[in-house]
Amino acid sequence: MSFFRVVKSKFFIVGFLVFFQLLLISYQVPLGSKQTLLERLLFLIFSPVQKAAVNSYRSIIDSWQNFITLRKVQKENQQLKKEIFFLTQEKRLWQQRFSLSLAKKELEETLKDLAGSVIVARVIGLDTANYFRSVVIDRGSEDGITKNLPVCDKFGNLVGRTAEPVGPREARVILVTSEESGVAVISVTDKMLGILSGDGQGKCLLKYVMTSSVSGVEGDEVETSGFDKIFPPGLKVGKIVSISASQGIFKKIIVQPYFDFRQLKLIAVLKNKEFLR
Amino acid sequence: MVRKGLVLFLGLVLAFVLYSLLGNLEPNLVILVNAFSILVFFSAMVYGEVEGAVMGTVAGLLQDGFSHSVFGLAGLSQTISGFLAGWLSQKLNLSTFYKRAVFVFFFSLIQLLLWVFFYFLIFKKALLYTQPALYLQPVFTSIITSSVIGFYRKLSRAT
Repeated sequence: MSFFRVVKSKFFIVGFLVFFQLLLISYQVPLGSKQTLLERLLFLIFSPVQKAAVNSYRSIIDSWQNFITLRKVQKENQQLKKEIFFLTQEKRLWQQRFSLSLAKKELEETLKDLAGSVIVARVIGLDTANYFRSVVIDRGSEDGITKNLPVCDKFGNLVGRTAEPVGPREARVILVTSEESGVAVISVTDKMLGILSGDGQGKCLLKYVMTSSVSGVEGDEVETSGFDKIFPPGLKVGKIVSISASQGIFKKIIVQPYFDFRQLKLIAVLKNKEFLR
Repeated sequence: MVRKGLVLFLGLVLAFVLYSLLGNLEPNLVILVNAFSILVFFSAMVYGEVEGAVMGTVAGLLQDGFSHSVFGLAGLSQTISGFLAGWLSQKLNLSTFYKRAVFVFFFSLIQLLLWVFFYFLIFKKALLYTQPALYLQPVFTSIITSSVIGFYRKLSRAT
């Protein structure tokens, strides 16, 4: 009798746990892309642990490197790398501002606003299910990060956008290679419009281009159009690698994004999107 | 009881730290070595089915918390596999490394298939096509889990 009671209680516990998780899954249906409180809570509690672990690991590695190489040169090099990173971002922003032929006075005003418009962040964690989907960065709301801010790599190529949960010092970035991302884009040569979404395998699909449309050239560059009101226009995204007519009414266009996932250590969050407009 | 709680909590933190560091070394390692699964099977085989199921829920939800996916998918598959592994491990003689490795491989495969199945039900997309490295996950999980359990038992006997 007592044996059955124990078995019953064990099955009751596992049944309760399974029911609880089914409830969690069904609860997200009306929420859409929003996170549940429990998910946010887990992220807020454990992301500082992740940051501490990664930073400790990096500091050990850095110490060893400093031991081997000349410490002074190393520091100088790091400083220069940071400066190059900022300058590359600024150069890209300025190139676009100049292209709009603004008056000198306006440019001076813009220069004042430019300070602090780019937040440099480090990637501290990858998505546990599919690393082409999202990453965790070491900057959060305390650094001015909110959701839906464009994120670029060190060359100014689009990487993705910030998304919830945004913790005080950590945040999530949804990559353009994620199936759930959507970016309004335009091809550079023939101005073909479309929505770019990830395929979850490191490449992107340019969607909603009619089979009857004559536009679209392999090798053509794709950049943001700005029509989605999230990404400013002119950010380079990738290159069209193949175009094929699918069985449906839309073409199947595959785009290879420019950003290199394995080189994604430092990223730039564009805090002030208005500069590129 | 306190010691068990402490070991499991420490295990959770260690598993999370391992996942964080692996991603920094090489992105594919996050897929190959599922630190959360290793912890779940360790809990199930060392402490029993209830501990396996509870750890499955906690570690699985933590795994979901750091993925831009449906919250609860990994939790559900880890809970079921943790409970089953813990329940069956009490009835079998799993004293050697190889027996444990085969046992964990089998349940790791079940866990992976459950996860892929739930994922397919929701997203209508097979994860095994997008992440081929997942095929090798049960192999790594079984070898590491079996080694960790062996090491833990030796350590327990010594202390």
